[in-house]
Amino acid sequence: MSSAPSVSARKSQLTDLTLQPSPPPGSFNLFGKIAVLLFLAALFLPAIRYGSDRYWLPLFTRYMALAIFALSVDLIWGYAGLLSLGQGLYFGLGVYAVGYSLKLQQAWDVAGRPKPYVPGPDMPLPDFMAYCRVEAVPAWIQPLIDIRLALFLAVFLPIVVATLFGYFTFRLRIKGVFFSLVTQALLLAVFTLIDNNQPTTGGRVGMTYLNKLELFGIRFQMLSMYYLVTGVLVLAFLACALLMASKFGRVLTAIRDNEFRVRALGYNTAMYKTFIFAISGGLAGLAGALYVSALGTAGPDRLNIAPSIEVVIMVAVGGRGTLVGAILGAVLVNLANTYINNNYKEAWPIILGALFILVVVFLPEGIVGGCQKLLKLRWLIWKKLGFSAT
Amino acid sequence: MNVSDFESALSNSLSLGSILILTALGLAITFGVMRVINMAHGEMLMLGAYTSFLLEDPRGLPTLVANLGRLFKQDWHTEFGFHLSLACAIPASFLLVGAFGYLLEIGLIRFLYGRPLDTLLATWGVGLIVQQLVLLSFGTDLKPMSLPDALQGHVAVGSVAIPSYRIFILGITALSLLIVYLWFFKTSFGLKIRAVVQNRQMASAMGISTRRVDSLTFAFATGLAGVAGSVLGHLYTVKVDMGASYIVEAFMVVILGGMGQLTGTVAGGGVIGAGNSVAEKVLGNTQMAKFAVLVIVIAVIMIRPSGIFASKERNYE
Repeated sequence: MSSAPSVSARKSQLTDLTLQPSPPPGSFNLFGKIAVLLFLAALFLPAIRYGSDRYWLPLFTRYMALAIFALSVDLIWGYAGLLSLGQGLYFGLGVYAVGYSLKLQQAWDVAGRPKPYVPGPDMPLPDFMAYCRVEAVPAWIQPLIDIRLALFLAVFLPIVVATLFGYFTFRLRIKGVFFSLVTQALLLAVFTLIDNNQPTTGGRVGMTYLNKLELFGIRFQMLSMYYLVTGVLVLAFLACALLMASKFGRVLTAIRDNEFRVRALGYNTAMYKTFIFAISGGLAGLAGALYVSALGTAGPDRLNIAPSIEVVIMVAVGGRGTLVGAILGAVLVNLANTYINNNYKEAWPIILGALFILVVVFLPEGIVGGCQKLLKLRWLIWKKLGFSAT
Repeated sequence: MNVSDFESALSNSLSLGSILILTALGLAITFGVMRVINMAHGEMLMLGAYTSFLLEDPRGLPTLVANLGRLFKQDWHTEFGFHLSLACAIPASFLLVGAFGYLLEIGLIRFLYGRPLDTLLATWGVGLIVQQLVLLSFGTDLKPMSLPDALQGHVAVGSVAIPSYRIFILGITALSLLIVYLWFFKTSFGLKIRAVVQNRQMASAMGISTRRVDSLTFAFATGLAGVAGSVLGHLYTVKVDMGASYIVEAFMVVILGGMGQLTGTVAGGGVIGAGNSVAEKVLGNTQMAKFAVLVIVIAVIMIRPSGIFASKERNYE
C-alpha cells in the first residue's frame, strides 16, 4: 500500500525533488494541459472514423460509458486509496433505474397507448413481468416511466447509498482490504437479491428490448448517443480534474499517503472519504444509466463480483491516480477484450489474468504513470548533458 | 418451532457451519494470520475438487487427455482412469494444491508483501488464469461425483435423518482444526510462525528463515483449501466457478470471527452457518437467506470491525 513507501522509493523521490522541483500547486503546466485537451478531443475520433458503423460505434459508446465508470473507481482508489470492489452496486442502481424507465416506456409503446407516458396502476405490463404472472406494475416502479425522474434517481440513489455506507465504514476506520471485502460482500448481497426476484427485476436475464433514450425531444441513438456519452465523459473528466486540483483533492491525496498525519493535523478524514465515496457512487450511477441506454438491455451481469474488479484493472492499466489513465485504460482494455474475444475467445481470461499480474508487479503506475516517469527521466538526462530544460 | 424443526435446523446449522469453517480455515491462516489476501483461494478449492475428480472418477483421466489433445490439435485418448478411494484423494489434493500454493507464494505473492491491495488484484488474476486453464483441460460439462458406498446412507439422530456424508464433513472439519491447532501450538514450526507473525525482524534476527516460514505456511493453508475442495466436490457438482461461490462468505467468516483467531473462525463459521439455516427456515428460500445473512454480517462488521473475537492487538492508529 502506498501509505508506507519503501526506503528506495523514498530515496528516489528525494533525488527527483532535488533535481527537478515539481511545479507548485496550481501552476500553469502548458504542455500537460495541451496534451490533456488533445486527449479529450481524441475521444471524439471514433465518431468520425466509425460514424455509420453499426458494429463499432455502439461498442465505442459502451467503452465511453465504462470510462465514466472507471473514472468513478479512480476517484476513490487512485486519489483516496480506497479500493472499492463493490462499485458495481452503484453502477447497477443507475442501470436498473434507467432500465425500468425505458422498459416501461417500451411496454407502453407496444400496447399502442398514446403519449405522454403517465404512471398509474393500469400501466401496460412489461413482458418480463407478464411471464412471471405479475398482476400490475409495482407501485414503486410506476413513477420511473418518467425518464427525467429515472435519470435523477440513477445519480441520486447511489449518492445516498454511498453516503450512508461510507459514513459508517469510514467513521469506524474500516479501511484497506477490509473495506474492499465489505464492499464486495455488499455487492454480492445485492446481486443475490436482484437475481432471485425475477418477477420484479427480470432475474438473471434482466430486461431486454428497451426503448431508445429520449430526452428534451431528442431520440438518442448511434451518433447522437455517442456524442451524449462522450460529452458527459468529458464533462465528468473536467469536473473531476477541477475537484482534484482544489484543496479538497490535495487533502484527499494526503489522506491516501498518510491518513494518520492528516488526522493529527485536525482534518476529519472520515468526512472527506465519505464525500469522495458519494461522488464516486453518483458518477458510477451516471455511468450505469448511460451504459444501459447505449446497450438496450438491463441485466445483472455487471453487478456480479468479477466486473467490478475488472474495472479496477482498467484503471490500473491506464494509471491509477491520473484521470487520463482511467479513461485510457477503460478504452484499451475493452478494445483488447473485444478483439481477443472475437479472435481467440478461449485465451481472453488468461490474458486478462496475466494483465492483472503484470500490471501490479511491473507497472504499478500504469501506462500514464510510466510515461510520466519516462518524461521525467528525459528531463534529467537533458540536465545531465548540460541542456537547460527550463 | 417444534422439536423436529429445531433438530433439523440444528443439524443443518452444524453441517453448513462445518462447510464454512472448512472453506475458511485456509483463509484464516493466509488472511487472518499472515495478512496475505489471496483472492485465488476459491480456485484452490476448485483445484482440490478437480484433483479428487481426476483420482477417483474413472472418467477423469480420459477427459483430461482428450481435452489436452484437442488443445494441441492432436488426437489423444486413453481408456485408463484412476479409481482411487476418497481416503487417497484427500491427502493427494492436500499435497497437490499445497504444492501449487508454494509455487504461488515464491513466484508471486512474496514480491507483494506490504501491498495488500495489489496482492488482492494479482491473486484475482491468478484465479482467472487457473479457472480458464482448468476449463480448457477438463471441459465445461458439470461433473457429479459418486460418493463411496460407506458414506451414502443416512444416520438417524432423534427425529431427523442426517446424510452420513454431512457427518463425514463435520469429522474432516474437526480433524483439520485439530491438526492446525497442533501444528500451530505444539510444533517448533508453529512456534516459528507465531514468532514471525508477532515480530518479523526479531524472528529473523533469531535465525528463523522468515521466507521459508512464509512459503511453507502459505502452502499448508492452500493445501487445506485443497482438502475442502476435495470434500465439497462430492457434495455439489465439480465445476470451474465453484470456488467463487465460497470465497466471499469465507472472507466474511474470517473477518466476523476476528483476524488471527482460530476460535474466531470457528465461531464465525458457526454463526454464519446457523444464521443461514435459520433464515432459510424463516424465509423458505436459500438465496434470500444468503442475502439476509450477508447484510446482517456486514452490519455486524460495521459495528464491530475487529470481529466477534477481537485479538488484543495494539496499533498506532
